[in-house]
Amino acid sequence: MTVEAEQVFFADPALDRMMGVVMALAAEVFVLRAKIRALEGAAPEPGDADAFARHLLEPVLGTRP
Amino acid sequence: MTPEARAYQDFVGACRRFWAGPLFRQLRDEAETCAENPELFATRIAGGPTHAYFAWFERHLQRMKYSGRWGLVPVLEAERATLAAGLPAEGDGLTLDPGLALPGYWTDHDIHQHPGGLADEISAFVYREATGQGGVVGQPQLHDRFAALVLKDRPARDIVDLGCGFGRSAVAFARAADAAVTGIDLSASCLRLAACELPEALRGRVAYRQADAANTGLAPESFDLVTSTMLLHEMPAPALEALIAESARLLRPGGTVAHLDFLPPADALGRLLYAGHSARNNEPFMRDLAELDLEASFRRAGFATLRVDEFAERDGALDHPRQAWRLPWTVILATKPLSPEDPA
Repeated sequence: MTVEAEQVFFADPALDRMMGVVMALAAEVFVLRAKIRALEGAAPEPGDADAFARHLLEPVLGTRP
Repeated sequence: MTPEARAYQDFVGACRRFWAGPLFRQLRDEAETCAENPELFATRIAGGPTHAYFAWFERHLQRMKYSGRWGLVPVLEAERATLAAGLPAEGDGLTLDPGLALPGYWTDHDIHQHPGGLADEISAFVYREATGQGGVVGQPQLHDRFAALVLKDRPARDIVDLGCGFGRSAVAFARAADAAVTGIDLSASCLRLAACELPEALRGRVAYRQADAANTGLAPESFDLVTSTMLLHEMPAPALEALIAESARLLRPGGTVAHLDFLPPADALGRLLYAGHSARNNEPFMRDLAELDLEASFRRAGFATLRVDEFAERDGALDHPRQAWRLPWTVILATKPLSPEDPA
């Protein structure tokens, strides 16, 4: 079975792979947060996912706040 | 879908909105500073870090949507038996062709990064979930807007919708016109889901048929309108030429063909992102459509007039400067002459 290489976007392909690790971890954190909120009996907050994504991804813009 | 899978998909969706919004705007603003200088554009923009992040997120958020622990494919696989049991076999306006030769361009690529593509029995459910509520991703009005635009001043009694998928485009045309609509697709799964979800009011007026859009097997000159939505860019050049010829064969004299698809924008950033989307979303034939001489192809097939216009999938979609990344939606309209001697 042939395993195809994933596309590379950064000058150093190690960064491509590490981004995958970071995003997998971030997804786990978000899922766990949702689970904790459900266990606490709290309703999902509207816009929570967007706020989480903004907080997570803003550094890639490379701009000062 | 479990609460964990729903939360994961919400996370991916929110990251996609950040990618299409703030990250796109950052890239757009950076590109603006060297719009007139191709060398600077190549080094600072195409080869710069913001574009690298933009490309990475486009590729991998799509991968995350479909694959991995809570990706749509494994999540819906767990519900396979229930989902498959709900699909109709045939009849009631649904005609399948189990012996249909599926073209290699359709079977050989995981289009949209959907593992296995649309050949699997429950793949239509994955596709529908990936597409979101109504319309297409984030554009719920798209099909209705296209149908209204095409049917304005072009009444049609018989419509064939090529590459109808799980039926949203065919239903939009059936709702907008008092016409009989035939939806054609290669995917039996999509057609079965389309037939299953056809609104009761449209039963008897909409039929679904498994066939190749480039060789439908339908009677010649039996339609006033041939349409497609997001089909052309999935086909290599020879299949595109065959589809255009087939459209001419299916149309009555004076009939219209209307395709809603993607053509590369004029600006450097738009062209860069168009080519990138083709590679990153596993849609290799977008380049074939971009390079096709539409005027010559439609003329060769016997069409008299051709119009190519930008399409606004929602109000304000074409405003400048762009506030969010969007696919370069384009309407391609051509008319078959009333007689071979009548060029108009």
